[in-house]
Amino acid sequence: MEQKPGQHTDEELVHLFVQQHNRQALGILFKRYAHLVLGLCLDYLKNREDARDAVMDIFEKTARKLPEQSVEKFRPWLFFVSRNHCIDILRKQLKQVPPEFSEGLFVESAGADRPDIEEKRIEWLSEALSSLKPHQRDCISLFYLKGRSYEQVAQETGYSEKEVKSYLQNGRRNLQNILTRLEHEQAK
Amino acid sequence: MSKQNKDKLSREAWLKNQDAAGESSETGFSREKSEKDWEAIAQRGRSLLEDESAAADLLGSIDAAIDQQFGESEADQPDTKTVILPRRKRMVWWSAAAGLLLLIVAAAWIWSRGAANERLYEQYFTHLDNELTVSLMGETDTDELTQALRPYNAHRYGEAADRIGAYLQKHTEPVALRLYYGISLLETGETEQAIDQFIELNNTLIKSNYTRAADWYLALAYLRSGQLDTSRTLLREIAQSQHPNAVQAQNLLNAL
Repeated sequence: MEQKPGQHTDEELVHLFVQQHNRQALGILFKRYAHLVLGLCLDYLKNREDARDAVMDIFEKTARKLPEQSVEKFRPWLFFVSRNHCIDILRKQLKQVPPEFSEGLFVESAGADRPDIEEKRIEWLSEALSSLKPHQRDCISLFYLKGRSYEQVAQETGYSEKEVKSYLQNGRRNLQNILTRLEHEQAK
Repeated sequence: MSKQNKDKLSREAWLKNQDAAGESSETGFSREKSEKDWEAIAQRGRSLLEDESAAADLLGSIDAAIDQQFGESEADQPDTKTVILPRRKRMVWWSAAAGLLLLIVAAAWIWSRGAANERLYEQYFTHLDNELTVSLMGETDTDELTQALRPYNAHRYGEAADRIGAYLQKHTEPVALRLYYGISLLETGETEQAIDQFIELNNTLIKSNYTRAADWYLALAYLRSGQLDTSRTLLREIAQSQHPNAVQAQNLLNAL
């Protein structure tokens, strides 16, 4: 009994793409994982437009890399491609944030020359942002990571500028507390 | 349950923000992010979206982009390469194939001309870097504009045509955006629409780098649409001027 394309395993679809240049097989594979990759990108980037673009960039990267690499298990491989892509985006965003944001949050890495922030700290920041209250998380993401002004954050969120400033102040303090806790837990 | 169905369930659960058991998801704090936690991580990301409709819209737009780039990939679509046909059906197919062959032979010379044009187009088309976002920094609506141009910057022309087209339905400025819209349409195969954009841009803007680039891509659009005389005329003008693509235009003329 012949299989329909949608019934192929991940690895069979990878084989169809790599060996037979069947791009439709890759499309099936990407649709199979689109919600997971999108959810992961949303979790890291906290912004739907950034997440949407990241998903398509990840799929393009995947299409380029698959023929060059011997991928035995597609799912874990795609997970790490996606995760690393998001971490790279966050790392670039964090390099552009004002020093007052990273001071205290990334004590060891916030040197004068703004070296790359360690991967685990970017992971922690992503985790810490997820555990903030939504209004604090939205304001922190827009103001520090996306470089918006107070006025722009107020426009985008619907909060007053006074509320935005308050959420930023409280959010940043909570973020610092969570990151400190994570660091202590890691050290134990 | 097949793998396909299992994945489908997971996708539906993700849209509804539910875990595999159908319970509303409130994902706990997980520090070790590994592939085994992927579902939980994705559910936590999903919870940032307000409701199922917002999640469905976002995922739907990604599905559409996948279709544009990788072809329709409906999972239940039969694989015509592998399905075994009954004998009578095969006979019908062979008859149809024979008829088709005649048509193919008759149309071959037309096709060969078209294919030659297409090869030349592919040889001479290059991506034009977007300079618009940088040049407009500090002005209003640049963020929306930047979002619209992102797929273009990543050479995802089908998606770019959709997004820039949507932006241009709401905004008449900047006119130069029509250059990137036209290029995106051109690469997507919408040559007539691309031609309209380049002509409108050239009729609206004074001579600039944007209009000069539009001239070059307009010549390529005429080439791709089979309007060779018009393409040659435009290429001659470009080749005889101080145009940045003058040498390419002359080489393309020689090849036509």
